[in-house]
Amino acid sequence: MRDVLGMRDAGRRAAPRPDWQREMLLVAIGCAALSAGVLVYLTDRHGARPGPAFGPVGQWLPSGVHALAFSLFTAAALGRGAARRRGACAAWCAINLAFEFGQHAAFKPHWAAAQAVAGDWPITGSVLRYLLAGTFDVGDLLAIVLGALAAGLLLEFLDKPIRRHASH
Amino acid sequence: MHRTSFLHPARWARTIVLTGVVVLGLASIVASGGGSGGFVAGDCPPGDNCSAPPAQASVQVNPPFTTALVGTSVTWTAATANLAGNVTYQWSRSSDGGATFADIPGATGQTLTLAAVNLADDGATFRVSVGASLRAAGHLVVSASPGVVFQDGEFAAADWVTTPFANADSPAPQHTEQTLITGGDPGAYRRMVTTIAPQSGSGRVTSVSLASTYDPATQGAVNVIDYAEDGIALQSSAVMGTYSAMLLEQSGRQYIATARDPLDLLTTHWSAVSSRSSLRAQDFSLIAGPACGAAESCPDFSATAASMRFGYWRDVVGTQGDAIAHGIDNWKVTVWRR
Repeated sequence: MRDVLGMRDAGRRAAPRPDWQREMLLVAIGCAALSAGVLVYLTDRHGARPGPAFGPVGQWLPSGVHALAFSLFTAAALGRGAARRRGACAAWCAINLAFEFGQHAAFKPHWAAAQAVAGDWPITGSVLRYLLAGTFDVGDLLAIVLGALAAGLLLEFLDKPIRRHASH
Repeated sequence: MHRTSFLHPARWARTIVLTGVVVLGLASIVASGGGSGGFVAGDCPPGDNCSAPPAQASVQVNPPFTTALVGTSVTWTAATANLAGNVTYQWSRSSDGGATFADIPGATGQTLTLAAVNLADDGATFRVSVGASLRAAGHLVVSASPGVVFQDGEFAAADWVTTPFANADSPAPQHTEQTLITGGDPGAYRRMVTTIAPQSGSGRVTSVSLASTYDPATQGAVNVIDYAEDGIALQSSAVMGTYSAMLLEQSGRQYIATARDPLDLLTTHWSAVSSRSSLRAQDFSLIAGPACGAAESCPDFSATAASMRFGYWRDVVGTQGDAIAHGIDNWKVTVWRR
């Protein structure tokens, strides 16, 4: 049926962003975010105290951008869909939170005990050293949640159909 | 709606990419070192000034203190750092406690060896001059009789008494230990975990060997003591570390051998950084027990002194709640008599 009055489409139509464009965009944003985190390690984490380049933000930025970047990478790999978007963000939020909570002093005696058994194994040894040497920080928890939330909002925005001029 | 087959290459490619992302994500968390306090391990040990300027040229004689039996050979090596170009060495000797030195003819190499030391060498100081201005010395103690040796590399629980140490500065930590049959230097070693108490930045423990009693009244006055241990810090980072020192127990007092040499942090591989030679009574510091009276020798190395026992002392530094693992192997005390 012809839309003689032009009510259905007033010269513009909504279309999803092409897959390749979406994936490239997500990977590019993720890499940019990760670069900021790497920069903190290169500039501010070579001494006993936080360095001057990022100031107090540098203490939590890596945790936040990790959750953000890997949520975006995972969403790019999984493809479109609200469930996949939210799943990616929730999963990386949970993983990062678990590693952060694992550094809490309450768990360290358990990790130290586990190290006696599995400290020499390649993967468990590295994870246990990380959990024992790291410092639990509530600021990191907040940064992780914010990073995952930011990724979720960004994905919602990028996956919304974009309005284009209709081609005739 | 069209669904991609399980066997479709595109589906497998997506799965591989997804797996890669997950592995990379987890690996990057672990590689980061851990949270806001997780500065890269080894960047800056506790107490160090990390913004210090580059080190100046230096020389040291290794070993700085040596105890040897009459007739044995002794070798010193001059270890230099930050020196460029040709380096010249001249060794000299002092028999008056370092007040005056006389050059040793022909001793111009990086090492100096005495083929067979004798009692005339006891107390001598051997100094190396590197270039025009760098100097370092090694000190020699010569003993006429072999040392009395106490050692342990197996650490049976019944042979040791370990006590969490508390004083006004440092509440007692929680402490556990176990003997592991592998992972030592080599073989068995004692693995310890010291958990720093609340409101504290360090945790200290003393461990005394029950099989190390030395009685000067029957075995002779003590001249010097050599201490050796292999130590390891199983956790070490910018914000945590472990120190170790020899412990001496006598007449209800405990002393550690820290008065002469500063403590060195244990490293994350087995090393002998806590070993010391030619320790005299004045090289020990009282850490527990009654204060020492003006007329007392503390500790007392004389032939009329009370018996003594030996062990080791550990001090872990970090933040409250840190459970810091560390190990010891090849513990050895040699008592050299007068």
